[in-house]
Amino acid sequence: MTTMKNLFKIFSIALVGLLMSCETTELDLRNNPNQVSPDQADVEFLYNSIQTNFGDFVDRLSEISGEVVRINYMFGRNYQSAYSPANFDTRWEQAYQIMFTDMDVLEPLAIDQLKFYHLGQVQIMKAYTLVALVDTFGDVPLSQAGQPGDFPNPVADPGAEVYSAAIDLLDSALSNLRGESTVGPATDLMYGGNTDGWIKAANSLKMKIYLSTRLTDASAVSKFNAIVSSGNFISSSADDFQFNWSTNPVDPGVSAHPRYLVDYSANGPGNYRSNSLMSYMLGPDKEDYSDDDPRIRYYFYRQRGDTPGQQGVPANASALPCSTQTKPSHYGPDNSFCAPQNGYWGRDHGDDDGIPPDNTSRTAIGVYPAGGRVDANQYENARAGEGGQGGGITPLILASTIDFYRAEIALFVNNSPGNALNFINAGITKSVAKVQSFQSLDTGLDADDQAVLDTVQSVGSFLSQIQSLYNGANDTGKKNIMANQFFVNLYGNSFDGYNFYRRTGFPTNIQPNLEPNPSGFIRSFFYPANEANTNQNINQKPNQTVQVFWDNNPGSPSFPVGN
Amino acid sequence: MRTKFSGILTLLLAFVVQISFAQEKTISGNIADEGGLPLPGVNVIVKGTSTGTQSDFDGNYTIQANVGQSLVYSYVGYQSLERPITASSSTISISMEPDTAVLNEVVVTAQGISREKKSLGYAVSTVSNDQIEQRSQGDVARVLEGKTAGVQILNQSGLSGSGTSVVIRGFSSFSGSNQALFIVDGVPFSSDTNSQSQNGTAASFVDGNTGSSRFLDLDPNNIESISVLKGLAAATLYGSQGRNGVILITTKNGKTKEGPAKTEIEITQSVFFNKIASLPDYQNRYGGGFNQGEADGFFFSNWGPGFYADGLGGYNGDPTIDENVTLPHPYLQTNFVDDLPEGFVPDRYEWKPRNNVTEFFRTGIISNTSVNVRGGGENVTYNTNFSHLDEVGFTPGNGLRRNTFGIGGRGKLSNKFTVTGSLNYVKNDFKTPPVAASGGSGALGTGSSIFGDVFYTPRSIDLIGLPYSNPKDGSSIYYRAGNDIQHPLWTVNNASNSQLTNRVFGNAAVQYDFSDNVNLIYRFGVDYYNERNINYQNKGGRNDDATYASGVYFVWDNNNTIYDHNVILSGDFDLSEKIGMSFNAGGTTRGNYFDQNGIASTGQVVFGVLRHNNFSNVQPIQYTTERNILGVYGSASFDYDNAVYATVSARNDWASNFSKENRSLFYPSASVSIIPTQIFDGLRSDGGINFLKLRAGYGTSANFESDPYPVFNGLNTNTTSFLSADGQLISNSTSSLLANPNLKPERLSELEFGVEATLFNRRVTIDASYFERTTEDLIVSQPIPPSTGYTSTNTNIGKIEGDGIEASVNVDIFKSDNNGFSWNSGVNFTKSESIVTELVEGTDQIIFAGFTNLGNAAQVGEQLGIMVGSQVQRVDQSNPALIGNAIVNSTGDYIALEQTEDGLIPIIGDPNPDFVMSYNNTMKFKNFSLNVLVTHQSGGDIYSETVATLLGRGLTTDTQDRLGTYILPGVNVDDDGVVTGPNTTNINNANFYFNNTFDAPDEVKVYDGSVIRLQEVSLGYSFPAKMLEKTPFGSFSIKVIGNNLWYDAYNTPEGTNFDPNVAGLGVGNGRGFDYLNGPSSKRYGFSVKATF
Repeated sequence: MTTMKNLFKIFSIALVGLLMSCETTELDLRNNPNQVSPDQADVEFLYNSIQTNFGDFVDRLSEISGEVVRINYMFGRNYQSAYSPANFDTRWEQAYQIMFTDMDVLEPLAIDQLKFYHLGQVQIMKAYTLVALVDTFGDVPLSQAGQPGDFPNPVADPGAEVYSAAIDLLDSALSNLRGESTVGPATDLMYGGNTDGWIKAANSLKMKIYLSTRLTDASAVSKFNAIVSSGNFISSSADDFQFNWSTNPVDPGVSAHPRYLVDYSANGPGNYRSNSLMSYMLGPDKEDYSDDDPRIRYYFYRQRGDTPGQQGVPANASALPCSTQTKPSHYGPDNSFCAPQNGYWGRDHGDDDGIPPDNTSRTAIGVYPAGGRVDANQYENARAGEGGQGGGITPLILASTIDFYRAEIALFVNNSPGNALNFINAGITKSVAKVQSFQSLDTGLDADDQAVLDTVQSVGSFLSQIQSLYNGANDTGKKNIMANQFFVNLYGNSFDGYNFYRRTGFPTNIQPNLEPNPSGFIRSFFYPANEANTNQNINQKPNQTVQVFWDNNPGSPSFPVGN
Repeated sequence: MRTKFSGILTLLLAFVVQISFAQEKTISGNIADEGGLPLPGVNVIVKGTSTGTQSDFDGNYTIQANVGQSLVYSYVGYQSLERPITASSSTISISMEPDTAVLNEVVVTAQGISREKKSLGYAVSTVSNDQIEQRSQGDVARVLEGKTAGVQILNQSGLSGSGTSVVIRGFSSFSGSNQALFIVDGVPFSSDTNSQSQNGTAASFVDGNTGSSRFLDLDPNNIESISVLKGLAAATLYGSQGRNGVILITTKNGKTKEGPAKTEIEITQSVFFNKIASLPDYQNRYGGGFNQGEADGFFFSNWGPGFYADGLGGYNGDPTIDENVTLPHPYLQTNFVDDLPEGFVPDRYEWKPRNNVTEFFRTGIISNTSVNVRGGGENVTYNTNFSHLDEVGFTPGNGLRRNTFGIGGRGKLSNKFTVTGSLNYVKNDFKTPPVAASGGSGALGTGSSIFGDVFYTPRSIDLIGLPYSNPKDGSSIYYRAGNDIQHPLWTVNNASNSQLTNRVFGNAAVQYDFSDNVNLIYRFGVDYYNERNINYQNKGGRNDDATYASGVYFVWDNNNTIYDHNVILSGDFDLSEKIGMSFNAGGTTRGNYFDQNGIASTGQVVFGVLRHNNFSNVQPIQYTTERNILGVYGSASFDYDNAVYATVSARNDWASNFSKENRSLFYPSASVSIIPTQIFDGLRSDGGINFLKLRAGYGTSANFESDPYPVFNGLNTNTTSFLSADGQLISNSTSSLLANPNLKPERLSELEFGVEATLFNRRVTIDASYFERTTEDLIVSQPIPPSTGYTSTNTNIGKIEGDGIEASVNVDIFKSDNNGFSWNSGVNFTKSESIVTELVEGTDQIIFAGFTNLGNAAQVGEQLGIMVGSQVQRVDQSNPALIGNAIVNSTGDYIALEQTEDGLIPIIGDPNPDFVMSYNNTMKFKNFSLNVLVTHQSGGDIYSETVATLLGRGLTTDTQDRLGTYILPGVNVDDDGVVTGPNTTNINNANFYFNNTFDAPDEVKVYDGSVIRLQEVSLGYSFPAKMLEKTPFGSFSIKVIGNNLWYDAYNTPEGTNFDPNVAGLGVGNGRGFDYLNGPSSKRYGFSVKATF
């Protein structure tokens, strides 16, 4: 009897135990409660992920292109080690892991929901991204990309094939944009819902592709010209293809221009501007402001008006170590060394010295393109929240850039310098007007500031200055002027500058690397570490001098000559 | 069977008593332990007879015996004693000494099963409470350091409450956790280090994972004993959870003995001083600046003019220093000068060395009070305790306060049921200034780093005296013109990471005895904690990240629950006279639930106000994971004549987060123990071998750990991805993790052999093991080509093969029976390695911790966890004559090589030590005891930003010789890489150090981490019982203790005084990196323990 009782007790305890343990016996806990499943995804939301990543991708990757061609400053004396493969990991992920994969999810949903504008626009972004990847890295994966089950190690497709896939994407985009769609994206950070603008962007991107391949594709120039004849490309600044940043500098939703955030931080400018570009824009006369490029006060914001070691200002070994040094012998007469005049405070190409406490002296990025401050000789420190609060742009393809494309064809293909000058003039005119229009972003300007800005050389006077230099120059000189003006135009997105430099070798009077033996110029960058280290079919390049498919110029170091 | 046997025994006993002589006499006495406490339950047997008794509750006994006979006193864990009976003896009181050989000891093994140690076929170490209690560390893992072979303890830093890594027998996996399982009173106990990650993002060491490891919730003074199950054979019954070895903790609440106990109150009070141990030796010959240039540059670095007037490098050469040896005040040339009221700072600033860093740190006081009460009657016993720990860190703003309360008990019911249970409550309050990783210039990531801004303060900077707060807006101000370093005092006063933990854990078990031989136990355990994390920084910090500088206030709760159910049927039979058998069969379910909820606010509105409504942006924090594991297990043990023991056991696990086909895994194990001294009588002699045991074990286990949801592909939603004119954009984006439905559990197997021996009149004991471990189907969070659309997936790839030796040798150098001088000396030795033997085809290197280009990697043929990063570029095979020479560029500096010809990141070091040793000495004389524990790690590289920064910025005595010039050894090359000749470029001291030890290829920052450490010294005195007779105390002892009093990392630069015991990548699988994560601590003080 006792045994019976006890057995009963045992069973009661076992039962309670069983009831309590129920929640620990469930063996199907495979779905992640922290995520949504693919069938819950939304076209609009995917589009937002793609467009914001696109803007960020272009801005940051093109910044590096600008560094190697002196539009921006490059840290690192040796080209081989200036950029480690890991530098590009995040960009590569933005392209392949975020944008392309999100596009793959978006496409069937968009077709199903008749959201063809969304689809057409992301196709243009993908084409732009593919071109940027080829121009930066050479052969990149595409045909086997985004299919992890079938292709765990996608091969890198030849750059030419990726280029032609980009053309196909643009054709598909054009048909989607011309088709009947119900509604476009709710927020379009590039064209604000202007579908005609997107169509022009697609055609203009084709022009960029044809221009890039003109050395290796005999029909490229005629294809380029066919689009010119169609007239349906970005010919007016009103149609400029650009990513519009907003002004929020902090989480959540950081949306200020990335370069604004670096320079207008709690600690002042975090970057250096390129001495080479600043010096060039100061014009032939380095002593006063009279012949400065009219854009200089919008591109750069100075925190002080004097530069140690220049114009009678004493050198300062602590603040600007190079101010006590002499110009290296391998620099040419056109090349500035150490620092330009009047407080323009940057760094020379390749300077890898430690960072002195000069945050209060460095020149910051200006109101164009980053939404910073306009320089009206205020000589105040750049601080967080100032100027246009980062509400700038990242240019994608500008009308002025197209003019320079056409100038290149006139000067380098058709050998017609007069025609080229017309395009250069047109490009400068559009560029100056656009850049100066950014003044309205900086609401902190007063009448005194305006008075200073009124003394800036007018665009007309600047054009005649360029024209007389151009007309007085020999062929190389003309090409250098065209190239340098193109580079000035490309401040903010320098992909085209890097391409141009590899395509033509101009400008030849570019500031050399501070290191006399910097190893060969970077003809394409190393593959990102996260791809090269993991992909069995992509081996890291032996060095940085591997040329992309459209670059049939002599190998480094003999080309380009400016290094 | 056993019942019958004891019946016969009783009859026999009665018979023996009947025929004994009439001249017997009554002997009585008292038995005490080594501390003078009464020892109940001691067996007292008349030698050569079956007559025996046990001492009672107060240690008293009475027995009948004849003159000429002798009495044998024996007790588990104590040396047996023999006393002759003479005509005069009627009272024999003895004091028993613990058996240092402890070979008859009973140890707690897996699932709480007690077994005789000699029967085990695998290695188990036990650490008794006298090695754990009254210590200066409140963290039980840190107390264990050096006390048992095969266990590696690594401190995240010396901060009070910082995380601790516990790894047994080295690493066996590189994506799953390698941390040991903690079992407290039979049920699993979370030892997580959540490290303050939010929304499921891996706790990033970059932004400073300062969270505590949750075993910090145990009070070492409340621990009765610790068993360490090292191998897989030992831990099979714990299933996959036990694969990294098990720290089995029995608390005083969990150990309530059967039978009556005397009510005893024990109070321990300890007070310690807590000081920085690794303060560098700063030089005071030169001050802040660069290139010995002008001092008013106010650099980060300390390469400025001398503090002496004349001669080369003297301050007379600096035009900014005037005849009064002053220079313009740094604040007057900053970008905040306009915010300062008139006279806020003096115009001039003295040029002199300052004890800035030393003064920044303080001496913390640690106070620990523990009260334990135990007692009970015949059938019900109980134990309860309370403890309070108040630990003030040596870093301002760092501290820890812990209260624990617990109760446990056992009731034996009349109807064959026994009920046991314990319940504990802990409140743990931990606080520290932010400790983000630093590369020697502020913080690497977005956060703030208290140590990043302290250690390289130039000698001329008055860290303590310079105001830290902008009088206008409260923001941080400091000496640099750009105001780009956050003043450390501002950080202390305006930023903090804290963790307030409320935790309840306990268990209840019901045992039913079917008979004396068979019983059934059901045990339920729960471990629940809530961690309230608060990270904040007021606005006005100097972070590069605008969000952080705008002021942040992150508040979130981590709720973690472990439910554990266990049913075990146990039996114990004698199959024949010589063969015994016991078995256990059980089933278990374990559920883990982690739920995180909170708010991340940014953009502080009113300075200093920490309410979410005072922040302009508010974002949710939410993250949930759950996982269940079901297990069925069984084991059977056989013994033959107390000489041969064999055990087989097996377990099957089912895990809930894998796909159905792959969620189950079976793992068996077997072990055998043979005692030759029992088998071959001739082998055993008093002066030779006293005891010898040989053992062998084979065990397997599995690992189901990976990402919490490895087989699900989803999208992340972000409702605040971009703030446009239209408002916040909502985005959907595909997850970067590629689901792998074919993922299988990782399989581990291990073979181990061991020998245990006692030699030379029990003076020497040896316990040594050799093991070989293989991990197959490694679950790897494998980085995959992003071009696939994903960046990682969980796969089963590769194989790791490891082996190792653990040995302990104990020698009684002096032995004494009567409280004379005794000296016991013991050595623990551990050496192990894990070699990666296979990775998936085509993958040559997987970097699994750290950064993608600087971290720990798995590479075929190399030790698991080798460090990879950039190397110094050297001449390659193209020039065989000069191969290996460093290449120096035209400015005279090294060039970095970012990758090898095969596209791999170069190997720069191996963080695995060659061997680890500890040397423990216990000396006793009268009532004094002295204990000295020295640990020695040989080898084990460490990448140290601390050393690199101190050298590169010219702070320590190592850099004092700085008037000459340097030429780096190496060669120059031309544009095509052809060697042009030896390097002849002269560089100055600043460039030599700054460019080539600090801003240099990673390889240069790797140092050998060998270290000798005086881990623990204690001197104790216990008052003799006689002195306490007239006091209420049953015992009273006092101890003076020091921890980490001295160390020497003898292969690191002398003046940096660097302590390599630091885990810069946090508690995880990364090793050998230091990002200025914090100095180590040195503690000393005293502790008093009294019972009454």
